[in-house]
Amino acid sequence: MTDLYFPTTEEQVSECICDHIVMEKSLDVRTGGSLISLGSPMNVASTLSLKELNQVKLYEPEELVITLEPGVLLSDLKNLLMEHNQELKFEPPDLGPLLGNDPGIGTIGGIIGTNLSGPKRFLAGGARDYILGVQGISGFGQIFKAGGRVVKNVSGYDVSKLMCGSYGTLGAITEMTLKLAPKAQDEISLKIHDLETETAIFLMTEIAACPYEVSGLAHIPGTGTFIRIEGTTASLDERIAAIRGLVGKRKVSELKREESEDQWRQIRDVAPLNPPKNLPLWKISIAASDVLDVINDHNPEFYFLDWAGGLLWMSSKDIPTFDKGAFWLIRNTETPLDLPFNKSPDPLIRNLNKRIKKAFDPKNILNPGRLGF
Amino acid sequence: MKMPDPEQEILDKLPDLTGRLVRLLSKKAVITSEQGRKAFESDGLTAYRQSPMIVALPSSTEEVSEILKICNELNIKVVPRGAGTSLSGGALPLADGLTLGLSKLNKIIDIDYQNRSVVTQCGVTNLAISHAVEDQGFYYAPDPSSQIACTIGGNVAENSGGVHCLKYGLTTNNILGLKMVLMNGDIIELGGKHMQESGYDLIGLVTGSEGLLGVVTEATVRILPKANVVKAMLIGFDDIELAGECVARTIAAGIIPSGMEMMDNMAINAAEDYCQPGYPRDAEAILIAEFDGVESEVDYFTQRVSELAKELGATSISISKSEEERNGFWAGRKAAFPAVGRISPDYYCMDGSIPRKNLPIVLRRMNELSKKYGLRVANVFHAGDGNLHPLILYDANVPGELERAEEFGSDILRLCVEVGGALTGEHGIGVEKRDLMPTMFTKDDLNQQERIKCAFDPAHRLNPGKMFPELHRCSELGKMHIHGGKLLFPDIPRF
Ligand SMILES: Cc1cc2nc3c(=O)[nH]c(=O)nc-3n(C[C@H](O)[C@H](O)[C@H](O)COP(=O)(O)OP(=O)(O)OC[C@H]3O[C@@H](n4cnc5c(N)ncnc54)[C@H](O)[C@@H]3O)c2cc1C
Repeated sequence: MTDLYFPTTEEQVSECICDHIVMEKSLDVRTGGSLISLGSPMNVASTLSLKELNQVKLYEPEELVITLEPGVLLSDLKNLLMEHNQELKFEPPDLGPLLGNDPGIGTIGGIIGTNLSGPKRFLAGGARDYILGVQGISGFGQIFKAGGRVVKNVSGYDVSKLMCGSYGTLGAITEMTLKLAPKAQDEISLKIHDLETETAIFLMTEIAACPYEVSGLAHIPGTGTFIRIEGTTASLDERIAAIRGLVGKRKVSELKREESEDQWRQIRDVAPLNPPKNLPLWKISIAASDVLDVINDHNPEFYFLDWAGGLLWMSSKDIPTFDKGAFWLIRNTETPLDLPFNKSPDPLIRNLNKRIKKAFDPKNILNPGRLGF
Repeated sequence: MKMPDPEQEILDKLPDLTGRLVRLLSKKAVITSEQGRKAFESDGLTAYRQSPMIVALPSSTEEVSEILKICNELNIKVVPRGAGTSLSGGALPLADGLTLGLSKLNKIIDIDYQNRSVVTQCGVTNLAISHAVEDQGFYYAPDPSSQIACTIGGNVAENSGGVHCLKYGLTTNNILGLKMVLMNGDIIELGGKHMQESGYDLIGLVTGSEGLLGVVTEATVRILPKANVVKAMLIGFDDIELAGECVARTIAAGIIPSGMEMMDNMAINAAEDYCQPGYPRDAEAILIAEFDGVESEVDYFTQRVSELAKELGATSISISKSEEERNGFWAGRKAAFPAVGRISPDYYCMDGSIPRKNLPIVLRRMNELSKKYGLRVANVFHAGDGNLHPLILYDANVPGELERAEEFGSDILRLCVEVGGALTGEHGIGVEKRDLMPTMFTKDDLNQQERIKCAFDPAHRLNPGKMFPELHRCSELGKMHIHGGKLLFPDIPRF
């Protein structure tokens, strides 16, 4: 039985961490908990949940910035931004259902902690590209902040990026500032039927190299290859025509706004595409030129491609093998197999990661072992 | 500005160091003569000068690694240097330091259109990357005004920006991979041509770290396809606050130009005197906004912004009808620094960053400061993202003016922080703003940053004296003190 802490103020977070430093007891640091199965298994004494820290501290639509606490629900955040026709451009996914949880319980803390990004990654960057500042409590028990609330800021190290994707191993984030974007006026997608994967990769790469600012390029074998265009209504026709030119005589259908949004939600959240539960599910970030080899090497029962071919989701019982790139074990089988969460890094980089961990959390109190070092 | 005192122990090791470097590199690649070293005595922040103890010019990652191993062993301080255009004194040498000149690592290694990336050595200039891929219709987006000269290694170190960063991001948003050498000589490779790495975001951390964490020898950068259509607008206002309001309304309308710049009356007239770009001399401010994309979208946006500007009473609005005209709009902005250099013997370029809405207060207070210090100030401004470049005019030959200009500059930066902004938007802390860091960060914040430094370079040998106002021993920074069941936060002694 582990102790549970639900602090409602930053001071309480700090107290909780200080106490655990003194007792030399470890903490499972989390926010909503919908992504808690991501990462290597941990053996911890207590759970520190940040979900009661759930205020929006500052929202300035005209400055395109928002400062919020980690417990703000993504669904609430989305609605708030929608009132001003704005959005998070990195399209945070809701992986809750994929991981066996309810939809809509994901928090911004979880997304920033794990650096999860949606289909626009290849065009507009990921979560890490939208974080302007953080504040949190380190494993020294001290409050620290870095960055700020302006877009242009190179004062000191970019600790915000370091915190993004650190899975709660460096500190408990109590506040973060994110950069926002205006929502596109309109969106439309093309669906090409029946492309071989190899041809689809080639086509996606070709389209990504054209100046039409295509904001989604994905290929789901057996379903179709999807091309998303967002922007001013006035420009959609011109861009669609140009892209149709590249697609040639293949069979194409158009998905209007709602249908398109639904399709990309499925790609973003993965669960609706029904990856088989009896096989481990891997997320793989790799150069588009190398992705076909990985698919051929593993011959996966289920897979699809996002990020213009730079992201491969696949179900395979084997650990993915390739030279350059990264992987994450997103979902294990019901009786978990002994599999690594990440590709094992070069020993020099692993050591550097360990030293950074130590620089924030010398007693290894915060999510010990969650990233495998 | 006080730099760390030269350590006699290091100076004593110079003969040994020189011998070992000459054996490793050729004689030509090790500079020891007084005259030769003098060429490296400052960077773009020319008010500060210091000849380095010695200069080494490696030509490969392996040579960089060997040099750092030697320096690590002999405990020699190292200052990495690209093209030396830093405006914050980041590449300022140390009297007891080796300046590591990286200009010979000047090859583009791999151009990969399929993965839209280029692998390049760190000494390649920013513009050379775009030139190498322009045939195929690509370019590298971050475009600092110094792009002809500055190196990609320097850009990574400073996380440099440019006028098009509003839409395409800063250096940090356009780097996929780095090869770097740590102070102990270890060569590490981060990222590659893929978009996301696992583990900590070391690429994000190293970008903007001002040469304090490692020497970047190679970068893999993202390249983008050039837009079909690019149009610029030149808009004049008789009130600078209205120009600011026009920027705010543009962004609030959901329109993000690829660049949106502002110049005040003094900068406008300096530019007109210098290169006659055709700016309205009587305007209190001009905006230059650029849009790129497909024609229908560019036309829509320029139309919308015209309407917004008209509503605000703009005194002139032009939309470029040709490449020539567009380049004309930019000519004055691009030449703004040298143009201001012509109306004053010296100028000091500041780089504060503010929430856009606070522009009116900041301009008003800056005016008051200008009167207080008796120094004029011209303003060019990355208006779209709130990055100010006030240029303080002074004459270094008048005793006390440089100091006054620096005081004035510090006050402007304090003001930026006070209104919710930052000390530096893109030029870096370096030595210039080092002692202002405590206006933005607490002691705990800075200690935490310094602990990161310790994870990479525990002896503070890489570029010491930059970024941190005080240096602490890493062993002290890593300690925790528990007394009577309570965690204590003692003062950490410094060197
Ligand atoms: C006229 C002018 C206009 C400018 N305009 C802009 C602008 O629009 N936007 C902008 O952001 N900046 C601008 N700058 C500032 C400057 O050009 C940038 O900071 C640039 O990135 C510095 O590159 P560099 O190669 O000259 O680096 P240097 O000046 O040689 O070094 C800068 C810093 O980087 C470190 N460094 C250099 N190379 C490496 C490496 N390979 N590995 C590790 N550390 C390294 C150095 O130690 C130093 O701390 C301008 C400067 C001038 C003079």
